[in-house]
Amino acid sequence: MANHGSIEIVVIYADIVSSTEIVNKLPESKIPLFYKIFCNELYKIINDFGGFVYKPVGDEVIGVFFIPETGWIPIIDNSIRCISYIRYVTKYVISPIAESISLPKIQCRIGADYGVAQIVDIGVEGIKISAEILGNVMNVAAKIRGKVYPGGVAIGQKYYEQLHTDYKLLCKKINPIIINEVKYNVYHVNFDNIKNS
Amino acid sequence: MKREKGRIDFVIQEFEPIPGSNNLFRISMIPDPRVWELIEEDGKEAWYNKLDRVLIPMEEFKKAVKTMDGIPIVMSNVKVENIDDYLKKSEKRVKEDVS
Repeated sequence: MANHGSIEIVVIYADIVSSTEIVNKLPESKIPLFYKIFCNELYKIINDFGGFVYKPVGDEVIGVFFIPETGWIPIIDNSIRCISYIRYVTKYVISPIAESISLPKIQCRIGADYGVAQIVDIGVEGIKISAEILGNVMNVAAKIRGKVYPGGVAIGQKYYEQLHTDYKLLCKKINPIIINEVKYNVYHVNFDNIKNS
Repeated sequence: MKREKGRIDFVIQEFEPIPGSNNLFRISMIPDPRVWELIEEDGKEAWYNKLDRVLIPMEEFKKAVKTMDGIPIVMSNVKVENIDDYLKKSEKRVKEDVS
């Protein structure tokens, strides 16, 4: 297993609320379109903001922003703005278009955090993906996503500390998660208070 | 919890070229007053973050400000429309995607 080194990242986990239940009720012919309408557009939004989509996992999109040692603030700002756009686009574009073609309403939930990750070649035989992004930040962001209510956004303490004041003022501390038996603060981001540009 | 990387957002109060100088300008900024407040702690000035309850003694603040020397002003090369225009662009993309 080759390690290509450590890098700071912002990782965004976005998925469709209750997708398993929804898909179980959908005709098979409509299932691919249900995932496609959400995942394709999220890929484009993340790319537009300078991030990249790490990999699709069912209804889940994992977006990653690499943070350089200098000039890190614009990347942080782009990543949180990206999250707000994902939320708006899902609510005002993806879901209405889905309903217009007889698909169910789509709500997303987003968890995100900032931290150090390792780029590693796992080298599992028969699996084409050559590099994986590993690290606590990936697990923490996924865990935070699990605490988000439908349509909501939650972020971890480390990401919160890096945010611009405009966004910090939208944050409200919610119940912490436990990481390695230690409490880790989580914040709900109330984008309803702004319609940002 | 130890803070690995800190951030103080400033608000520009004044920006003006210095008359008669070559490429010099004067800029005055303060830590964003929505969250930062100048207080006195044990007889010494300090910046207090009302939101995060963080206190930065003026001595430490001055040291931090000096580290700004040589740091470039960084502009993002990512240009994304405002949300209203972006929603229109996104709507077009999604409709094409499902058609």
